[in-house]
Amino acid sequence: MRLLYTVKESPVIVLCVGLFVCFALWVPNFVDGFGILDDVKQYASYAILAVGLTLIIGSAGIDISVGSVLGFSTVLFGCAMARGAGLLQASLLALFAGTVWGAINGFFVAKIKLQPIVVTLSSMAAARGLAYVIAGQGISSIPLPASASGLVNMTYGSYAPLLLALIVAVGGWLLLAKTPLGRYILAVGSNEEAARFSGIDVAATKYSIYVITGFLAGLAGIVTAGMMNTAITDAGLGYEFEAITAVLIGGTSISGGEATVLGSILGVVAVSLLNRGLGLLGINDLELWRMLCLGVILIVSVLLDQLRKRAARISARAQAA
Amino acid sequence: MEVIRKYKMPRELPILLFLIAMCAVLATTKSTFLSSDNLRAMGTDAAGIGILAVGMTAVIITGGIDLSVAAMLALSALVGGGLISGGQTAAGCGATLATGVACGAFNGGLITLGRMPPIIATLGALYIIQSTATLYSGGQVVYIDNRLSLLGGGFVPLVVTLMVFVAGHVVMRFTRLGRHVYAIGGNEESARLAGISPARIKMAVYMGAGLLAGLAALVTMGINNTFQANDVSDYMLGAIAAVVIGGTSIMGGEGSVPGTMIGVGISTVLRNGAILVGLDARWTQAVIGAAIVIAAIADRLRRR
Repeated sequence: MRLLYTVKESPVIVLCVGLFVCFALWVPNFVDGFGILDDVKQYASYAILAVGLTLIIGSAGIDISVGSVLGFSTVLFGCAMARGAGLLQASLLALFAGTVWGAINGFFVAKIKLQPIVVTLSSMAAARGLAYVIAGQGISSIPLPASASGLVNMTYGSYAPLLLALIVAVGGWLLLAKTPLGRYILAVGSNEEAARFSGIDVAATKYSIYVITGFLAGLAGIVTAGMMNTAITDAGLGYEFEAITAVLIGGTSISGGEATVLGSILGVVAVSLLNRGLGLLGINDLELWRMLCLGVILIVSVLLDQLRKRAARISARAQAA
Repeated sequence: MEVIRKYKMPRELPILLFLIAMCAVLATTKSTFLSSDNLRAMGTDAAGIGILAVGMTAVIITGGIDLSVAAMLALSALVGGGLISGGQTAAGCGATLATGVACGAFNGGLITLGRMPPIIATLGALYIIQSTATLYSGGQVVYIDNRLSLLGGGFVPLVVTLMVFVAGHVVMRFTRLGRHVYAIGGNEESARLAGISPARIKMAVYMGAGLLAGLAALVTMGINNTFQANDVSDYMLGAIAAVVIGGTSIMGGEGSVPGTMIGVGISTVLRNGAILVGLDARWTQAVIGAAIVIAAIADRLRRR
C-alpha cells in the first residue's frame, strides 16, 4: 500500500495496467503480442521526444517547439535525399539541424534568460514556417527516393524504432539518475537560486538539455520520415502537446525538480494502448475520442499525483512523530 | 534634462513606434495599404484573435496561461451556431456566450478547486473541449444564413474588437478586480495575506476569458457566415503571441491591455504586409516567430 504513494510512477502504472485489463476484457483481439508491439511502435518518435521533454520539464522549463523541429528535420532529410544525398549524409544533416534548433532555444533560454515558453513558442512558429519554405511552394510531402530504402525497411519493416526509443530511454534514465548533469537538472528545477549558490553552472545545464532535446527531435524526424516513407511538412504537428501530456501523466512535475524517464515512457505506452483499444473498438471519430480520453486522463492523473504527494507527506509526518 | 529624466517611458512606447514605422513603410511603398478595402480586411483579420487576446492578457497577468481559448471559441460557436441556424438567433447568441463562460468556469474550477497548474489544466481542457466541439458538430459546417451579418459586415468586427479592448483596459486599470489581478500575479502569497482571495479572482479571470471566447465566436460566425471546428486552430498561438509581443510578462504581474492591442496590430500588419509586398505566405510564420523573440529581448533590455 505504501508503494502506491511513495513510488512516483504509481499512477501511470495503475493507468497502464487498468487500460490493458479493461481493453483485454472488452475488446476482442486486443491481446496480441505483435499487434500491440506494432501499435506501440507508431509511438516511437513520441517516446524519443518525451525523453528530452522529461529532462526539460525536470529543470522547470518547457519546450513546445519539438514537434516543429521534428517536422523541420524530416523535411530537410527528405529534401537532401531527393537531391541525391546519401542516407548517412542526409541523416547527419537532419540530426545537425535538430541540434541547431536546440542550441538556438538553449541560447535564448540559458544565456539571454528569456522565458522557455516564449522562446520555444517562437521557434515552434519559425521552424514550421521554414519547413514550408524549404519544401517549396505548395509542396506538402516529399517522397523518399529508392536510396532511402534501407531506412524505410528498418523503420517501417522492423521493430528498430522501438529498439531506438528504448536505447534513448535508457540513455535518458542513465543521464538523469547516474550523472552529475542529471542531478544538476533536478537541482535547477527545484530551486534555481539555490543551485547557483551551490556552484552549479545553471546556464550550461539549461543549454545542454535544450541541445539534447533538439538532437532527439532531429532523430525522431528521421524515424518519422522512414516510417511514412515520405517527408511531410506537417510531420510532428501537435506532437509537442501529446509528448508533454505523456511526460506529465508519467509523474514528472511541471514545476520541475522531479522527473522520471520511466514514467514518461509508461505515459507514451498508456497513450498507445489507448489508441489501440479505441481503434479496435471500431468507433468513428477515433482521433476525437482519443483526444477526449487524453484530456480526461491528463487531468485525473495530475489530480491523483497531488493526492499521492499529500498521502506521502502525511505518512512522512506520521513516521517522524 | 531633469524633466526628461522624471518622465517615465511607457512600456508600450517601443512597440508602438515599431508598429507605426511598419505602417509608415507600407503606406508609402504600397498605395493599397491605406485603402478602405484593405483596412477593413485587416480589421476583420484582427477581430477573433484580438478579442481572445484581451482575455489572455488578464490570464497571463495572473501568472497563468490558457491553452484552451481557441477550443472554447469553437465549442461555443458550434453550440450557439446550431440554434442560430435553426432560426433562434437570440437564444443562439445567449447559448454561445453561456458555453464560453461554462468552459471558462471548468478551467477556473480545475485551477482553483483542483489546485492544478494552469498550463496542465488548460491543456487537458483543450483536448476535452476541442474534441467535444468536433464530436458535437459531427465535423459538419454550421451555416447561419446571414443572421449575424450585423456583427460581421464592414468595420463592425474592428469596432467591436476595439470596444472589447477599451472595456478590458478599463477593467484592468480602473477597477478593484483589475488591481487584484495584478496583485495576485505579482505575488500571490502577499496578495492573499492582504485579504485578496486568489481563487475568486482567478475564477473570474478564466470565466472572463471564456466569455470573450464566446464573443469572439459570435464575431467570427458573423464574418464567415459559416463555422467549422478547425477554422480557428491557430488562434490560440496567435493570441498568446500578441500578448507576448505586447510586452506582458509571461511570469505575471506585469503587462497591459493597450500593449496587447499593439501586439495584435503588429501581427496583423505583418500578415497583411507580407501579402501586399508579395512575400511568400509561408514566410509569415517564421517572421512572427522572430517578432516574438525580438519583443521578448526588447522587454528584457528595457527592464535593465
